Amino acid sequence: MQVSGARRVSGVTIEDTFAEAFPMWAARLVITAATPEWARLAGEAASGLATSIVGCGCEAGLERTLPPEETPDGRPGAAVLLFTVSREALADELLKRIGQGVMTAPTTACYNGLEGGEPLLVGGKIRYFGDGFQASKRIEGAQPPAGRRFWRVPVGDGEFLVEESFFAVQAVGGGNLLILGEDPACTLQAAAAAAEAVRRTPGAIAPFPGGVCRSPSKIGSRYAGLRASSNAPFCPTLRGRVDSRLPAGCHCCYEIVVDGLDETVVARAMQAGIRAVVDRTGCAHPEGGPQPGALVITAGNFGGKLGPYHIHLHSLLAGEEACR
Amino acid sequence: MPVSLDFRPWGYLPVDASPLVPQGLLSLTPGQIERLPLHIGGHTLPMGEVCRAARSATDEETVVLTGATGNLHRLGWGMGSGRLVVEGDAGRWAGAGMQGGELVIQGSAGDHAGVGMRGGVIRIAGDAGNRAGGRRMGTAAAAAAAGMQGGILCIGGNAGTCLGSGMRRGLILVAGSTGDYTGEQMRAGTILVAGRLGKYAGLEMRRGSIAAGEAAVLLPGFTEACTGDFTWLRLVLHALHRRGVAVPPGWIGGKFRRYCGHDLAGDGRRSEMQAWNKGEILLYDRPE
Repeated sequence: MQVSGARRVSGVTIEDTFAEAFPMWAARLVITAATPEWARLAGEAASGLATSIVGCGCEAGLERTLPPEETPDGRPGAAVLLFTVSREALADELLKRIGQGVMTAPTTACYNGLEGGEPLLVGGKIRYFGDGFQASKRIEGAQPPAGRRFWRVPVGDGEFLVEESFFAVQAVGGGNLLILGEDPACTLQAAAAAAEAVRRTPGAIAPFPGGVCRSPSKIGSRYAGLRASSNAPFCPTLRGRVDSRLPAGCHCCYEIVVDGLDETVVARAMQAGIRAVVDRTGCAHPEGGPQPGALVITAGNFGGKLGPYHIHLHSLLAGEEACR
Repeated sequence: MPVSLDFRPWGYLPVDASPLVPQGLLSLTPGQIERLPLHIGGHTLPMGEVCRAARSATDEETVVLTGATGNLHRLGWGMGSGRLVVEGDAGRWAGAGMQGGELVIQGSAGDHAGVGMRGGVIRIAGDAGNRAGGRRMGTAAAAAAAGMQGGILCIGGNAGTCLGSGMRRGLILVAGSTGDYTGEQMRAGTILVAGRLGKYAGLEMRRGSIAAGEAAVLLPGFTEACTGDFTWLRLVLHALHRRGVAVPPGWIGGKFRRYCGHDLAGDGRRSEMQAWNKGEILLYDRPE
């Protein structure tokens, strides 16, 4: 299938299309612990099974690890981002994930990681786990974290310190890249490189396992009650049975979904992902010579009818962060 | 533009210095300032009788007091903003009822410093007298009122008795040692004493935290609970450190022995010399 207006960069065709993204609500947790390892493990637990809002309640991921000088209590830490469709859902997910995934991890503390937004009572609910033995502390002063209130919940290794309220901000989710290639192993390597670049972008996450989704989906299904189903035009085994979106020579498709604190961050992350693919020469072609591993980069959208954010791939190539 | 007031010695009569707050002075000319009334002893005199006012050209919201400042009482009373610097000692009630801004006393302060303060920062380079950060005494209503409500009180030397009495929140940091009855009847807040706590610390304390370098003896109502590195204390010390406040060496990340207060009688009644419920005292566990 030929796409008009496509550009080629380092042998990779970049389709002239756009990713259609949507408003979401986001929060950032700052988790600290006695060691970087425990902070990371707690972050992974808090962001576990959060690949898609379709079935997981939220999309979440480890944003980055934090050195001690960047955390409120001077211990090593990790930042986790969560994205949901509503503020209420965000409050529920924060309560559940901090209560079950962070508080349970040894030596941890959990703080709000955003400077402004709408406050959600989270630690103020988790405190009841203390069964009456909890205590609060308020930080005095004029500079952050002054004015903030924290709860001390007695636990087996001392106390779990959790901030009373976490800020929720309006964010953007559903940015995406579709990496199409000939050889599945090489295409996967390219997609993984793109996902890694996305995940290194501050304020962005790629929520699927390793950042890569092998099952691009579409909204709706022929079966009543199913919210999403396999995106058939991108499934190689269905070429010939459906109107395939896979160009000739492409036998594989991986998707990278990008959520970010705003549309600029999502665009920047997608740009980094594209750059990571076209700059790549790490996959050995069966006929000799290195290749990026991908043949085509495209994106998914709904014709611009659903999401207000349109992130054009060619604009990203040009270094712009063009959104509608 | 900062205002400077140079006080000449006038004897032993106390001066009510409560009008000398930045928000009341920064918009006035030196002449207007010197015509402001001051209560001196039982008299009301223009300020120019005891001090000379001047303004300098730098762009700061600061009032600087120099000269014979030791008999100036109620400095920074109810202050809401700006910076008040006393280049010397201060009398009683310095910073009482303060709501914001910064009061810097480069010498020592008398009794009742920071009583009932609600916000802002008081830095005393030297010692503080009795009842610093505490509550007023003298009437039944005052005695029932809570002490310090918020803000930060930093004392570079020692503090007298009843430090933080009836404290309801806020933070007190003492680089030296304290007299007896530190934190008595505390309801909330944090007192950090780098040196030694006096006797009867935490008497009838309900909540709040006292952390100290050492204590000669604790009330029998305090029971040793555990030794550990407390994250909430790290958070408080880090916040102070990032503001440029000197914290006791070794305390960040250091271990503390925690003593919990509890109801000795077990029947909820208060009795004399009894520690209470959720209050705690942490003593720094010095490494060998």
